[in-house]
Amino acid sequence: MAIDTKWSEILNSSENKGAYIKEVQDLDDEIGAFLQFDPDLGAALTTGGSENSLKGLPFAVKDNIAVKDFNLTCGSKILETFSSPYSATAVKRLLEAGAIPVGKVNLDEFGMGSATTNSALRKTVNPWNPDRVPGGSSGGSAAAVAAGMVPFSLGSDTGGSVRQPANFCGVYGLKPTYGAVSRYGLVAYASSLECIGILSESVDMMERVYETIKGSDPKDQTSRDASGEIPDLHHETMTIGVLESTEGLDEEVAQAYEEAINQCKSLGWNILPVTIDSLNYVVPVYYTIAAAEASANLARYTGVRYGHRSAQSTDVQSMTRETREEGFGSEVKSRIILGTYVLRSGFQDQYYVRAQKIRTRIKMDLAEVYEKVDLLMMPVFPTQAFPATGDSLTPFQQKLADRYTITANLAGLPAMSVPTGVKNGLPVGVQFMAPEFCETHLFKAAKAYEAIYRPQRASKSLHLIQEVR
Amino acid sequence: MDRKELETTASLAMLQLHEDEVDTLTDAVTTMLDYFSLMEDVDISGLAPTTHAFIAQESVRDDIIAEVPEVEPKELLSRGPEHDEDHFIIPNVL
Amino acid sequence: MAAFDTFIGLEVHIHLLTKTKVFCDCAFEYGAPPNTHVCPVCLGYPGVLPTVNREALKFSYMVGEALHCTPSEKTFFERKNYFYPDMSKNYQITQFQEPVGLGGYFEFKTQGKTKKIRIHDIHLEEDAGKMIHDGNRSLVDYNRAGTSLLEIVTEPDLSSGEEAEDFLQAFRQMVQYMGVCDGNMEEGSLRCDANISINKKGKGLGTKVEIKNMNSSRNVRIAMRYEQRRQARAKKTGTKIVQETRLWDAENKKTQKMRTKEAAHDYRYFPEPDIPPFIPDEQFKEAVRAAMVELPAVRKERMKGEYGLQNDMVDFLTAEKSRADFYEKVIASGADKETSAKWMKGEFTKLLSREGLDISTTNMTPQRFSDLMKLLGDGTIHANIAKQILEIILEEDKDPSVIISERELMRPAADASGLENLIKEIIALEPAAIADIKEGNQKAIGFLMGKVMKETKGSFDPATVRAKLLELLGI
Repeated sequence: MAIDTKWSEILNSSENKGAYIKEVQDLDDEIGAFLQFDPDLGAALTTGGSENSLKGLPFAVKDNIAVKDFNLTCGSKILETFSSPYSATAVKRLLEAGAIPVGKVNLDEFGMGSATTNSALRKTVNPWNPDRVPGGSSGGSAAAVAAGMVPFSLGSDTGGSVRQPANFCGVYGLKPTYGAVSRYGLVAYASSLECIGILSESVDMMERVYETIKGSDPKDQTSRDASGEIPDLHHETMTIGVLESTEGLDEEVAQAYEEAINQCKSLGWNILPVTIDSLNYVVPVYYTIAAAEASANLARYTGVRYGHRSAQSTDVQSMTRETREEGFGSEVKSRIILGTYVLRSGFQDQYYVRAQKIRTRIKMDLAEVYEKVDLLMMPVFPTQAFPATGDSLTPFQQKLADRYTITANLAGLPAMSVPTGVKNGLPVGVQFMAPEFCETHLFKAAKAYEAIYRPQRASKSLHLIQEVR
Repeated sequence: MDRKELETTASLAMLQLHEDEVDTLTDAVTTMLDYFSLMEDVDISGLAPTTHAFIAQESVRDDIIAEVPEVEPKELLSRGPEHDEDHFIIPNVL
Repeated sequence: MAAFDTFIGLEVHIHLLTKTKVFCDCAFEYGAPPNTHVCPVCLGYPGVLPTVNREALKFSYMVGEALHCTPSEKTFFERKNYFYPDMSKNYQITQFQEPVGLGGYFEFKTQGKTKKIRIHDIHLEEDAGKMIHDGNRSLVDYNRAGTSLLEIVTEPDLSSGEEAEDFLQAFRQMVQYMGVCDGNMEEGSLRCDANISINKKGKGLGTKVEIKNMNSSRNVRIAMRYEQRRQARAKKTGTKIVQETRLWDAENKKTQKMRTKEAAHDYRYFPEPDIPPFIPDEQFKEAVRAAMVELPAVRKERMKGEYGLQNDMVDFLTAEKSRADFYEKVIASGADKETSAKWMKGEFTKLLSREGLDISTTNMTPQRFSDLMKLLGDGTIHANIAKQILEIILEEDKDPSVIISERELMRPAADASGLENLIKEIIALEPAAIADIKEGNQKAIGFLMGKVMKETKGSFDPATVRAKLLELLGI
């Protein structure tokens, strides 16, 4: 609790606040997490909170989640000057608990990417090593927490976009059950897959934030409360399913996974090796569905009602085309074209409909696995944080590498990435994945692991707060 | 995907294609489509498509007008790239 | 035309009378200042989500029931993708694979016969905004964007413009009866597109041509007749009929090929991930059943039998639900069936239309109307007085008996025997007139009538007076 007290005092006195703002600004010149940093604007929005809640805690919000009066750029030129006239439901709930949004953080444009290098607005580096990417798409959210600039942040997870950057930056990352947290105010990329997620410096913080933002919302009809009782664990001791074979992992990642299995054993948990055949198909299924949904979700950006409008045009058709050409980056365009194509008549059955059917198979496979295990433990990403330049992963390789995170999104299940150590100066970790609405099981496992390994701070991090830790 | 298909698709998506990006886009999309052929190996007989992550509990809205609008309509109008007192303005559609 | 069969199918859009739009809680108000009923949801802002309106679903299932459709046990929405500036998301949320209702039929009277037309499906969707074109720019108003629209798609079972018009009128009457649509075609609450093809007799469907922009049922009739002739002429001259969309030009009374800038559409329908499928539960089904009303055709038949009315009278009384309801309440309060019908069709309707009033919102309650008819029936007042009382009720909001007692002039004559005595007195006083009558001078009857009316201050019905006078004169 000492850390929280400190955090809650940061914005309380003008002296602390001044020092905090200055240090964040200086540090962020190097890291580039924030697209907008304005604690005063955020403090003006806060509506309440009792002493026991999140009162006074600063947090950062991925810039594809609406916070009233803050920008909502989605890391895109097409919304570069757009500010939101309303707040996302998850943000509102945090404001009601007294937390203070201090700013908006960087991301891959519209959440499309794994390194935050697809942001059209800013470069973000990994606080552990400025030559490495912070991961993505919630790279700014992960970097801000890892650098100690905020105790937690909101991100969004469509195919791993919370868990992978959390893993790259050595913080906790939760992708909740689909619908457990309202999507109202999350700018849509792939509606049937994505969730607002949380990145935090501790499991306790994670749990408190989750308890605050979860629950059904009349503004999101796909949001839900946990239906009935949350299933008990199968046995007194947890049974953890682990993958029998993990191909294509970097040596450090493979090692970390082995070590994590051993730690689980040392915690007294049962280990059960499993194979999930449909893991081989999750990537094409995911990218087919995500691109299809994105092609429709991004159709609204035409410069008619808000946002960028091309100056080059005298008729509506060319205005629309040029606005989109100028406003979107190449990764976004390629996914829009891919998504449009897989929905076209003549191709829809072969791609989109087939992908949806395989999605059903994936859900069935997982349901079967959860009859035997309480949690699955998997790697997060085959590599540690990779270099931003040089012979790093190509965009296509980055997509293939999403195979471990995507599964939770396709099945709508909760998953949490947990830091387990540092290798070669960069964090490593694993993810736990639970049946729907079993977030509490994730927290239980993560807490047990936290007692063995308490995540370290990144080398570049806020002095003010570091002293407290 | 050939150039013609790319152009048809881009036109449906209202994306102006500039010459310097045609090759990159064609490559990126073709790579993915080739990779998608992996899905042909899966036996999908008897499987219904998953269109929603879950079938939510009954959730429909009552027919009640918002007492206070979340955002004033005037403010929304003022965000239009081009607008007057009443309308959003665009180049002539006809 | 005799050599050809004509096949007309209609796509009818009705604006549902929900208070809010179908996917957000903005109100809809026809004629409101532009862009005053808009919110982030119906403007397609980043991050917002649609929320489906239960009432819109209820109205849709009601129409499905009235059209004998098979109701969907799990209906869902889909995105129909195309770009247009008045459609804020650049996809329309509509239904495709699993609409609220499939199949069904509708029966209506046309040219003296009952015609049955099959319904293909009915589906719920959102409307688009409106644009005004002004020189080199267009002005967009999103008030209508996202309002509830139910589309009814018929099979091509109609064979003439007259049939199409009769169908539309009967259908319009039905949805008005149900209270799900105001049926106003001028304001666009009920819109209709058509598809029409002709072919040599017995050869089945021909090449389908879509006709849009017909904003009245009359226009539908004449547009269909025009198109029938145009296609027949093409057939006869061997010109190919092209599958296309044509616009009705009401001014020049012809259809014209629509200019299209777009290449062929590919709507890329796919299930709307933001709205879960809707599975009607028992409670919902019960609400639909409870909200159903007796439909016009059924009511017409029943009322004909129950009240012994002629066809044209029952047509008049059932033309609007409010009118039929009014009539039946009047009768239930004990007034005479025929007199009440006659007065509703005559004086009352004349008065309502002169004053521009709606039958359901005036001071004339069915009870007052019924009382008035009873006073008329038992001879307490005669027609002229009844007419005056009718007007006074509308103006002063009082019961007929109160009006009668308040006004000296209208105090009823004591009784019929009082009238008889009065006439006898007058006969005795006017021997010259009696002599004239006996000689066959009809004018003298009028003279005596005038005397009686004057003495009674007009409180007896002239017909009654005349009959009594003739009786006493022995004519």
